[in-house]
Amino acid sequence: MKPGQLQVLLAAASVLLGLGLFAPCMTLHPSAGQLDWLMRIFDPDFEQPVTYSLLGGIRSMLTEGDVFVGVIVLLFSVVFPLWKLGVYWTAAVRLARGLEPGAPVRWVNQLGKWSMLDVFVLAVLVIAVKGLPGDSKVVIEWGAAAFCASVLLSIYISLHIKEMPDEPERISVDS
Amino acid sequence: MPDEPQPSEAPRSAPQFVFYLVPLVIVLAVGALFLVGGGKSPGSAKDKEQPKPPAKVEVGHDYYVIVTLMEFHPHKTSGEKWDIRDSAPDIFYELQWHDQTIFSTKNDVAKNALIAHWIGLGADIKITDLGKILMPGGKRLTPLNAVKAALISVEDDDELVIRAFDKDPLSDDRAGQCALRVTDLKHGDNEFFIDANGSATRDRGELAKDRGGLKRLTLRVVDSSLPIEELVKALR
Repeated sequence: MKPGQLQVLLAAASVLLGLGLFAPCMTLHPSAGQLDWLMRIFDPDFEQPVTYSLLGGIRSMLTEGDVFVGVIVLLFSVVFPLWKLGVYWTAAVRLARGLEPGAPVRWVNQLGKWSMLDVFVLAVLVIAVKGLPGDSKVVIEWGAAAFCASVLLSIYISLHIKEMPDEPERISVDS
Repeated sequence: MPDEPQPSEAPRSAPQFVFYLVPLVIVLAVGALFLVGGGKSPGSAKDKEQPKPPAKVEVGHDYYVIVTLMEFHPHKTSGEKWDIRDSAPDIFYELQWHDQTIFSTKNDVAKNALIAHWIGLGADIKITDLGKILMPGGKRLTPLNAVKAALISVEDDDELVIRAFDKDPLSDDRAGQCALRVTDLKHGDNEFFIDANGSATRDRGELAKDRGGLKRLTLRVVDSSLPIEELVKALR
């Protein structure tokens, strides 16, 4: 794959990551089953569906006391994917200039297993919310799909950057 | 000069740090476009329902009625204090229709208050009932048996009498009463003020400022034929 193509894919992955962070990720429809009417007495708005984006969820965690979990999710769902894409973008530019991808690509690829943590965090969050009692439902919104697509695309990009030769072709007079 | 192979181009410089920030800029741009453009705010899925304008009750229809608010003056109509210990009255009320007491909040007293609130729903569950409710085939807990309001039928010349009391260990003190013509009632909250003659009026300007006893009340009227969901909503 040519560096130009890589940059197009990286731009697409960045757009998808942006959508994944800002767009609605999941909507919670609370329900107490047959006791809905009783719940409405105590909390008239309890059935109001609540939509979360990934960043909105992180902000809620940070402001509502779950600082540790909020920081972990922030690191592995926002900071790490952004840094990874930044490293790949720089590597694509280096390749376009006939240079090696650079050491940061190796670091990112070695830390690649951590990149799955963001998918894992999302999955855990979904399972946790789906485990609520009553008839509460969680509807996954398109922001979650965009986030997962961004992660998958960045994995695909990492495979192609790894495949590139360590020593790119150089044009020399005695070749 | 040694005969070294020369590259055909000038040495290319290493990419600058700024390239690391390209994805961040794209992500922020997408976020800005999303928020400024078509981004829906979380929790905005439900449309707000517009309240219906109050309409008069219809003759021949059945309605739930409940006093949702009652305010007393700081002293009795006789000018005496409500309580010898300077504490506020323990407010409750009764509804009378066809000369019969059809509803009372004597077991739901607003203690030491000059303003009392009630809602038309409640579940009188004792701790000993919990087992019966939770057991399969046990006691039924339904919205209808949670309705805590009086049911009346609207007929011409019918009156609904509201009697307000201060609960007392020896004998309850009467704080005032008002008789309302049921055909004059409207759907929803009906606010009445007690005037200098002790009669109920909808005109706040006619409120007796220092009469003592009952000062004002709000009577909620709900159509009993509403679907159960709306009934619960209207009575809470």
